[in-house]
This record gives sequence, C-alpha cells and structure tokens, in this order.
Amino acid sequence: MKNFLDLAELKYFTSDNAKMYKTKNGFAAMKAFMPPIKKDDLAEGQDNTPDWQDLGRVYFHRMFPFDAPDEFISVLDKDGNEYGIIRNITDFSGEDADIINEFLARKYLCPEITKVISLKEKLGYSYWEVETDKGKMSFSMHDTYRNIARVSDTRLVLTDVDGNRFGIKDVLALDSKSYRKIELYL
Amino acid sequence: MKKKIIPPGRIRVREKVMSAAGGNADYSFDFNLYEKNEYIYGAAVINGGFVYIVIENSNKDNDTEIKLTIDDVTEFRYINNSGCVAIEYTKSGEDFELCRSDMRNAVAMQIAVKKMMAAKEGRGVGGNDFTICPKCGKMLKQGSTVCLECIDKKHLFLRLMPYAKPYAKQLSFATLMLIIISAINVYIPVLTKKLINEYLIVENPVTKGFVGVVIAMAAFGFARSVSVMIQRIIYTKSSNAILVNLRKILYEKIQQLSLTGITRRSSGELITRITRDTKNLKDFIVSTLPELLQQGLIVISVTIILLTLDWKLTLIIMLPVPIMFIMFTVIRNFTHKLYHRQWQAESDLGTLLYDVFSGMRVVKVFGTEKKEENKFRTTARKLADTSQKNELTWNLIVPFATFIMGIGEYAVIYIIGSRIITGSMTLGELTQFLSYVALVYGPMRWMAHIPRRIQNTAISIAKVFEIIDEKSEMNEDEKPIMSEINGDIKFSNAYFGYNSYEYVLKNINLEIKNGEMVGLVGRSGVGKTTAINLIMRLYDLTAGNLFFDGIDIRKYSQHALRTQMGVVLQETFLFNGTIFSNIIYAKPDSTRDEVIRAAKLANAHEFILKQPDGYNTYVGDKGHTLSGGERQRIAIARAILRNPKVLILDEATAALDTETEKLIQDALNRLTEGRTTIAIAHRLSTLRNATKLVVFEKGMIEEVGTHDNLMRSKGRYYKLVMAQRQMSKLIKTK
Repeated sequence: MKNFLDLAELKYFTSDNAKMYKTKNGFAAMKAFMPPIKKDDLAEGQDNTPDWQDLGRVYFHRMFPFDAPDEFISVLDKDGNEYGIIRNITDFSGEDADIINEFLARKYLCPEITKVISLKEKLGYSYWEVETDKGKMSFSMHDTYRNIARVSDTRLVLTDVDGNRFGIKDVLALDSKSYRKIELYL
Repeated sequence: MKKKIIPPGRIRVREKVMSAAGGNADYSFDFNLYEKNEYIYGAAVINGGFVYIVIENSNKDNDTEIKLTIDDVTEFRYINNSGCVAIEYTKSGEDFELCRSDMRNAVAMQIAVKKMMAAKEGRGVGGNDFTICPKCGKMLKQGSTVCLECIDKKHLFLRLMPYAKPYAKQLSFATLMLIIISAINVYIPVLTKKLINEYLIVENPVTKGFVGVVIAMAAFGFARSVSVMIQRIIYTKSSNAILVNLRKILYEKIQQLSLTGITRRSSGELITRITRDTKNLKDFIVSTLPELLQQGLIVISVTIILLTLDWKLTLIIMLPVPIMFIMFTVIRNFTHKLYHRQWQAESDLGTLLYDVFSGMRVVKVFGTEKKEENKFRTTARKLADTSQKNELTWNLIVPFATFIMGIGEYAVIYIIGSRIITGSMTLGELTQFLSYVALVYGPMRWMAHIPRRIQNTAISIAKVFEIIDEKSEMNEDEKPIMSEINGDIKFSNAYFGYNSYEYVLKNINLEIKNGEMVGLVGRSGVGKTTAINLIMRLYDLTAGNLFFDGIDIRKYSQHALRTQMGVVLQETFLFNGTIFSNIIYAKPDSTRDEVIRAAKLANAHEFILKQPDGYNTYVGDKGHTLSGGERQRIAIARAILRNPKVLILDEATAALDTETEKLIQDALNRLTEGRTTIAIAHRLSTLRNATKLVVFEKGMIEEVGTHDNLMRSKGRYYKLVMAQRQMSKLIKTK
C-alpha cells in the first residue's frame, strides 16, 4: 500500500536544479529548473512543463532554527509563498552556498555568549554583561527562566526584553565562573 | 544599576546626521547593524520629505552618508528578521536596504516606516507611538506604563495609602493595640524579676505582695491576649475590605480598557494581577506591616531598657547581631537559589500535569500513556531531588546558625552567672536580662526575611498600579450619543492596523444601507473579521472615518452602540451555566417566552428539548457538553434575542450541516427586514441572499456587487464560486 504521506510533494532544491545569484543591490536571488509559478492560486489551465526560470529575489527561512539550522531551509517569495526547500546547505557548494549562508546570517542574528561577566537579578529583571563572538554586550531579561529556551541539554537560547537573541552553544563548555552564574536557570 | 553612558560614536553620528538634515527632525532613530550584521553606529533623520542616514563604517575611516528623497520611493517596508530588523525600500522597481538594527531599535524603526509612508502619501501621522521611561531613557515594554527598573519603592508604598484611608480609624486603633501588646511584652520581665528577687529567693517573703504580683502577671497576660485578639480581628476585617476594593477597582479598569489593552497581555497575566498581586498587597498591609511595626517597637524599646540596665552587657549581647545579619544574608542568597529551583521544578510539574490532563483524549487516542508516564516520572524525580537537597541543606544550616546566634546568650549567662556568684547581681536580674535577650533575638531572626518580602510587594504594587494608571485608548465622547441607530454604516478612506506599522485594512470605502444584507468574502486573513471588529468598535480606526447614520462612530456611547448589535462570532463562547442563562445573557430582562422564541428561530429549540433538563441543561465549562453545531445555535439565539438593529454573523453557521444552515438562513432572512446584516462566510451559498457582496483581498476591497454582477464580471468572486462548485461536483461524483 502506498504511504499516505507520499501524497504530499516536497520540492527540493539542489545544485542540480537551482542556482543562486545576487541582485544588483545585493539581495539573494535564484534561478531554478521548475514548473512555471502560478501568479494566482485560483488561475486554471496553465502549462506545467518545468523549465529554467529566474525567480528573482528570494527569501530564506529556517524551518528548524534551533534543531537544524543548516537543514530544511525554505525558499520563499516576497509574500511568503514557498518555491521549494533546501534540504541541506551541503547540497550546494561554492558561491551558491556562500550566498545562502550570507543571507541566513543576515536574517538570523544571535550572538553566541562565550563568557558571563556579571549577572544580577533585581525586581524580576536580570541584568547580563557578557562576552560574545560579536564582542562585549550587556542586556536585560524579564522573567528570565521562561525566556531561556532549552534547545538541548547543553544549548540555550536567551531572549532579552527587546527581543534580541543570544545563544550559548554548550553550557558545559563555559568556564566554571560563568557556569555558576547561570546555573540557577538551567 | 549604574547609569548607562552613551558611547561617543553614537553621539557623533547622531550629531552628524542632525547637521546634515539642517538641525531639524520630524523623526529620528538609531540603528546599529550593517549589511552583514556587523555592529556599527548609525543614525537617521526624517525631515521635510527626505531621509538622512549616517553610518560609521567598521573601519572607522569615513562615514557613509545617504540622502534619500521620500517621493522617489514607491514603498518602504519594515522587515522583521530573527533577532534583527531592517528597513527596505523599492525605488523604480528595485529593492534596496536602507538600514538595519538589532531589536532594541525595532519599535523606533517600525514607526519610522510608518512616518515615511505617511510623508509620502501626504498624511500627517500624529500621536504618541511609544513611551520612554523618563528616568533611564529605556523604552517601556509593550503594555507597560511603568519602568520596573526605575520604580521608586517609597513612592509605591505611599500610593497604597489612599486605599487604606477609609479604614484609618480601625487601623490606628489596631496599631494602638500593637503598642500595648509590645509594652506588656516588655513589662512582663520586670514583674518576673520582682517575683524572683522580692519573694522567691528572700528568706521571709510577704505572701500578700506575692499574690499581688502573680495576679498582676495574670492580668497582663489576659490583657495581652485580648489586645492580640482585637488587633487581629480589626486587621483581618479591614484588610479584606481593602483587598476586595482593590480587586474591584482593578477588575473595573480592565473591563474599561479597549480590546487592544487587554489582548496584549495574556489572560493568565491579568488573572495573576487580580488574584495574586492584590493578595500580595493585602498580605503586606495585614501581616508584614503590623508585624514589622511590632517587632521594631520591641527591638528598640528592649534595647534601650537593656542599655540602661547594663550597657556593657548589652554591647556583648549585641555583638553577634551584625554577624547574624551577614550570615542571614548569605544564607538567604543561597537558599533563594535553592528555592527558586524548587519553585521552578514545582511549576514544571504543574504545567506537565495540566497539559496531560487537558489533553487526555489525545494521549489516549495516540496511545502515548507510557511516554507521558516516563515524562512525569522524570519531572517528579527532579522535583524530589531538588527538594531533598533543599531540606538537607536547611537541616545542616539551621542548627548551626541557631548555635552561632546563641553565642551571645551563652556569653550573657557566663558573665551574669559569675556576677551572681560574686554577689553583684541577683537571680531576678538574670532572669529579666535573659528574657530581654530572647525578646531582641526573636524579631532579629524574623527581620532577616523582610527585604525579600518588601521586594515582592513592590513588584506587585507596581503591576497593580500599572493597570490602574493606564489610560483607555478608546475614550468615550464627552457627550456620547445614546439614541437608537438606524443601521446605515459607512467606511470612508479607512485604515487600520493592530500594530502601528502594518495595516490590516487599507483604504476601505464602503457604504452599507439600512436593511441591506452584506456578505464579506475572501480568503482567511484578508481583514474580514477586522472590519467587523471595527464596526463593533472593539478597536478604533488608525486613519479615516467610520460613520453610523452619518455620524462618526466615536461620537456614540460605546455601550449604547453595542447593545443595538447582535453578534455571532467565529468561536462561539458559552459561559459556565445553563442553556437558558447563556441565551438570556444578551438581554437579561427577557421573559422565558422570548428566550424560547429566539431558540426556535435559531433552530436550537428541538435539540434543547432532547436534553433531559431542557433549558436548564448545564452546559459545563465553555459548553463542552454540547456539540459545535449546538453551541453555535445557542449563540445565534443569543444574538437574535436582542432584536438587534445590526446583526453580525462571523462564520456563524460554519459548524452546522447544510440542512440546518438552510433552516437558520431562512429564519434569518425573515429577520433581516429593516435590519442591517453583515455576514462573513466561506461557504458562498450561505450568502446567496445577500444584497451586496464585498470581496476582500490583502486588506483592500477588490470587488463590490451582487452575486449576479460579480459572476458576470468574472473576477475573484467568480473564481471562488467556481472553485467551490468544482469541489461539490467532486463530492457528488464520488
């Protein structure tokens, strides 16, 4: 018997059927070998033969930003309609992969905390002073325990009062002083 | 917190962009990222149709300066990424990025986009968009009007006073009782000393005086008990009155707030504010404050007595006090961590249980009981481990701490003991002194917990007053119109957005005449329900006008307006109660006869009769004992009961089978005469009787006309109908 799930079709992009490039103004764009894009979802009777076509500017969106940041990247148009999926960035190489990585880095900003310099709690707020891969930073958090996402046993993602994200790749890899400061929230 | 110093680089770009703009600014904002998310200093000014930008490049040699003419740009867009935001614009068909920032400037940049678009369209954008704490200059959290970082605790506690004022007499009487109790507590050791010195260790005691002292002691004891009793009764009574009053004020305030004010806080948070935060305040007024007063009185008076009795000895006694305080602070910090963890573990367990029990059906259907069991065991284990560790730690610390605090007492016993032996002090004096020492040490131990309690209370006060202080955004007109409406509705150039930068509805122009039945059509998320919310004035328009009978909706009394509307919403909400109480909710003075008629019209009567308890059937929490269709019919009956001028149906019959839907539709059609009906439906056949169909697409009106007109013009409506017909054909052929 055919699997029920086979009924849903996923369009995957690889270096065989997709080519990345940058627009004149430096945005990510893509050419792909695929059936023509329907302009209107209610339009009927279109030719569906796949061909190479220029999609113009595309937007990347991680489907699993915490679990698998380099896999399952959705390629979207301006209105958020999906052209297809990049299953893994390794399916692309060279300039293509560079463009994907560059635009993911532009969309997802999450400095990685390497050291906790000071952490104080006062009136339900916590004040952090940290060193990150992007330099020294300070931020404050409200309702600290609930604003720390425990992605895995060792990986944390913190969201501060403004909505900025900070990551800790591996809490066990922190120096013992830093670890003791954040221990309370683990 | 130490004051934040603005980095010189930031000031420099700000000044530079200001001078580029000629010293004037309609609006200005900062940003701090560049192309590939490198951190930089950047500042922007919008002034007189231009946008000026200065960016300090990461190599810091030369700044990038941009001047952009707003009129050249087709569109400005606010791009929300993850952890960072950007402003993009389109100019002659091409996209450009203007600037980017991390989240701290997100709101400012949203507003900037709104202002630039407004400048482009020649609209003025007024109003305060966001609030900044005047003290620390930080932007306040959405939905917050006080900066929790800068609240002045003294000021906060003073604000409680007006609520205690009506009970000033009782409270001051209770405080007097407290003083009496403290005085008795302090005086009793004096009696004890007298008893021992004059009667117990004397060779020939005078029996008469002896009895007198004992009677005096008993009398004081009795007086103390009576005072304690009176004081507790008064405090309990007045504090509960204060609590009820506070909750009432808070609840009324929340109901007054517009839906915007309510929805931006979770209902859980609002519930916490009404229940827990107000209770914290009550606890503070009732128990912490008087206790603090009493214990403080005792400590001070006893210390003075001790000093007069023997100041050298007193100093020795007081020696361990600072040590004790330091120790308690350390222990507190330590145990605070432990308890925090335990509290988290408890809360995790609670969440888990709530989750599983409310989703029991899913758990059983998918057969995941074992998995949930394991999850529960792990969480319970964690809680057990944490609390075991806590208790062990406590049990290790406390006896030791008690010993250290006792050192003072041992010292006293030793010194006084040797004095008694040498004869320079009497046994009575010893007893008196020791009683006083005990009197001082008790409150000191208790006071170690005070700072935490005060802190908790301060947070609660801040949260409670934040709501009380909040200004409702939808103000009633000074002289609201209370009269009946006719039912003519007109949108003119209406714009609306739930947040300030993104419009859900754009340039809506629509006229609905009294007696018309208007169908709103379109995909989900195009703004149909929003349009209805505006008609009900759950929100106010961002720009443009909405008229009822030619008068602006804001001139009407909100209450009077809404009582003339009957609404059946997408999600039918039934209150915990009977079917009858749910229908009559719309118009509590209706007779039984009217309720039954409404139920009959809504086709609910038949199924209600099938219930053993008829109209008195208890619908349970949110009506879960009824099916979706049954709930919807009750909601329709509720709307009809009001005999509304304007009937609003938002997917009101979606959960019904086609046959019942037709019956209700027919009933409603009879009703619509002389009334304005506005209906949203995805099943287009529901709207076949509509006198006007309005097709929405991306927040704008795409087509307006009757069914026949729109079918002929073969636009979006035609396509939608065709798609649905094909669907039903498919179903038939299968």
